[in-house]
Amino acid sequence: MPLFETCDVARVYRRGSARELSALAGVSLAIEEQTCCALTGPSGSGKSTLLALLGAMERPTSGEVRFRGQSLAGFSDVGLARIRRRFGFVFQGFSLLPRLSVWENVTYPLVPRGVGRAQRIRIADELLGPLELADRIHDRAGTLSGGEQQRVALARALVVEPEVVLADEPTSQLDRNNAERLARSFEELLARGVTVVLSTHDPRLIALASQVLELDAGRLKTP
Amino acid sequence: MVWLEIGRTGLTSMLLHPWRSVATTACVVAVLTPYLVGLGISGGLSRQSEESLRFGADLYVTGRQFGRGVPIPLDAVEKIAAIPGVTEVEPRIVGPMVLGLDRHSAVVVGVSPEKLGDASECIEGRLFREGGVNELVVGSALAGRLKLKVGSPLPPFYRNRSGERVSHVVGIFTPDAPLWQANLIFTSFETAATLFDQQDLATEVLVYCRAGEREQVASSIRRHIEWTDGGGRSKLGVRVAGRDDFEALWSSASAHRDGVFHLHCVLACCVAVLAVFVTSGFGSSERRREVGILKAIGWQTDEILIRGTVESLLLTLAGASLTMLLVWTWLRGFNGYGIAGLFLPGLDVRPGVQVPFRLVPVPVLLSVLLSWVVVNSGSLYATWRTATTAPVEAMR
Repeated sequence: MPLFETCDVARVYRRGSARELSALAGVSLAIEEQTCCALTGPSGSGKSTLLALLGAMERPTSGEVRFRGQSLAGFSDVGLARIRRRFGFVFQGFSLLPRLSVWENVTYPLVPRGVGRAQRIRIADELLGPLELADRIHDRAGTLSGGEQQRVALARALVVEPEVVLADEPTSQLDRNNAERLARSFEELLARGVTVVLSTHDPRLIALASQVLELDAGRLKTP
Repeated sequence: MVWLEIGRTGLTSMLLHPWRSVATTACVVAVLTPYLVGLGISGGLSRQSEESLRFGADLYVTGRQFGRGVPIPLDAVEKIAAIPGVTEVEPRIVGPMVLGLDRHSAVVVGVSPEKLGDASECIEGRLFREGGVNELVVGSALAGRLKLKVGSPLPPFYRNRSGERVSHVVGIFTPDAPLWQANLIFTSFETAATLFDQQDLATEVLVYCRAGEREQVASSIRRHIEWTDGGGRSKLGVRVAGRDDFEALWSSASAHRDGVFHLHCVLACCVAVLAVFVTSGFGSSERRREVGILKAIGWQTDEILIRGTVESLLLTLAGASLTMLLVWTWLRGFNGYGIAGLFLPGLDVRPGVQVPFRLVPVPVLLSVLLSWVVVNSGSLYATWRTATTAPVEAMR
């Protein structure tokens, strides 16, 4: 059974009363567990929307998204939140809480699980050490550089020991060194058996993928 | 444990948005402070009036003519004293008077010094003597305005057939005296009769009864006490008022004033809800984004609402604590500046007398609860609206 399946998924955004924007149209795909799937395509082709649908971050206008064979349409708001707890997200713009410290940003997903403050600081320290951010753990996230923020975002995605990591253009705002460092992190994740789904133009990340899906104008291009 | 950790993030959120926290706290303070100052003054006045009534007479008897109160002849005093159940009868004269070049209003009370009760403890100087003439004990506010001290002579301030006489201030009620005494002049019954040039008349008769016989005595007075006037052509009746009547009158007036104040508070709360609504981030992209991120990383709507509720509670407590400090300062340090006049017509913006106040725990706690509702309803709706949209939508 594939980890993710989409059947004829479409997503239409309504802008105002008359304007409609079709971000995805009739996308059907399957992503196997413990693989790396790269979504490629030009800007506006629907990569981020597809990632958001796979990550239970929004609902499709039509069609169906399945995770481990279960349709996400059947889940309530609470159910979708619980599904999201099994995922790790790396957003394109990092999406950190800039006023919070680094360790708080990394461990915020653990708060609803009742993990105490001392334990969260320890977990953050363990995660940030290998990412060479141990000395910035108490700094505010907003004071970090782009590369550092991206690593914090990756640490936050990994803190819940996710079954899947979904990453949206994770290297788009990074210099070459930081991009390579991030690519190595994804390699390690794959080696640990974590499924990775990412949207990217970066050849280093595409090279990691066992499945590359190209999107264009909201549709999957057939190879 | 989960709730504790989520609650702790509420505290973090409060500290992370200092301007928002300050604005919300300011809303709470702005609504609660004048309201609690008003309630405090109202409570203080109620207590003073209750005490005054408790130490007052059981019945107050005046004459009645054309349905209105008129002075009562002193002949009636003996008749009333003879009614079974009456233990003591005391005539009293109460009347307004104007003093000084600036024509300050005062109320003269001519009564036996024994009937001043606890009030006599608040006197600087001494009480007037029983039957003494032209000895005055002046209220502190009036003494302040007229620059009177113990021993000050008062030039003749009445002109009538009794002639012009110099009076002396023999005592001053200190600021601890009940507020209603601040503009009073206490003197002997005889002096008051001379001042108003009304011999053999009292404005009212204070009647003290045996326990449990008040109603019976009141009924007897109404039935048996009457006299004629105008050469026997006009019949005068009596009007009897009990302590209950005054209590009811006070409660009614107090409830009316409090009601007006409650209404203002409700209106202020409505404005505050809107203000908190804005300050708590309805339409604020940063706030929406924050909620969106929390949803995206697995927080549920109820958990986000708990976080918001804790934040609101902490802001309310901060606001309430600050409010209590300001209320205390306003009442104790600034003597109810600006608000006391709303409860006591005739008082200046800056009251010249010690304004009484009493902060009762229940209304104070209810007000704090109300402000929590204000803050919560302002911020929670905005949070809920954002938390129920898709995370991606909220993060945009």
